[in-house]
Amino acid sequence: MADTVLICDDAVFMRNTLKKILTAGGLEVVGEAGNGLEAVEMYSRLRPSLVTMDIVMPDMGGIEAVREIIKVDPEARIVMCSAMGQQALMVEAIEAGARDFVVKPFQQSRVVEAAQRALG
Amino acid sequence: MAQASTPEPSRHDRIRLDALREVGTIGAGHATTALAKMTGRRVMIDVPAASIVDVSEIAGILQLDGQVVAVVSLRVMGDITGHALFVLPESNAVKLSEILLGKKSESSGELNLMERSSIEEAGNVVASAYLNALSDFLGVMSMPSVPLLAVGDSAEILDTALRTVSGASEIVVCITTRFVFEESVDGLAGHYIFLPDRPALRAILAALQLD
Repeated sequence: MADTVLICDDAVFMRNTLKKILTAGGLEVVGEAGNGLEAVEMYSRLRPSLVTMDIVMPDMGGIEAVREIIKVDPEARIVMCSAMGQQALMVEAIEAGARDFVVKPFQQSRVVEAAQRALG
Repeated sequence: MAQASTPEPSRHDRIRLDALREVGTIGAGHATTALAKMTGRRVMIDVPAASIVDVSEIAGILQLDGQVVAVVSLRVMGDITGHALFVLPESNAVKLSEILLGKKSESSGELNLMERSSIEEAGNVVASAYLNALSDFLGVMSMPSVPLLAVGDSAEILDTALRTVSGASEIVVCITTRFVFEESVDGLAGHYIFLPDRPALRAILAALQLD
């Protein structure tokens, strides 16, 4: 059975792009969230194997959503997928509980590699 | 010429503007690399321009007077605050969206949801790359807000966006860079605009030891 993924990004274009990349990489996308609040709710309901998480989103940003998901499941596997490549933000995301960080615009191989590494 | 109503910068201002132009070069270089990577095309930039201008003059400076444009605007937050704009004539925004989505536009009039999202995301990626470079260079942290796309008459759209940026002030410091796609994408060009607000200007100039 394929590992399952929840994609969280406020841009429908980026959700679509990630869906294509992850599906081609052998993963099954089981949900798409448009902000951090939706991601936390969908994570609790769907319990995916992996979450891809944007940082800048309306209502609840990605780093706060990572903290909330980790409260629900300390073993959650989350990979940040954001255009914000600043060191301080990467550190904050990893400290919050993210397993890896991919900076947009990303290469397909880099996303799949990060997903596979997070799934261990 | 539209610039006639803007006061001539002093020598001191010119030195500061030159430093801001250099900051613009660093940001625009990274933004262009991101845009090229995102589209798989070669993208070139002109030398950035830093100027003190009246908000009403910017459409003219960008040579977009009378055109319908697509403007992605993002608020910049953190140690450097201000606004970032990604500006394209509407026809070029449609071409950019076609490249990003890998298919011809399905809209005869207004851009559809996916086309709008692709242009907003392009604005987000280039603005973030611009800010990442600036932040690394200046040793500070900054991040953009969620991108917002508006399409309409250049003077009207830019005036609305820029007055939001500048608040009550009519005069803003504006760093503009024109980018152009090379070869196969005929005439696809646009502008990155960064408008640091007053505290951000002080922070940038202090980091450059020009305060």
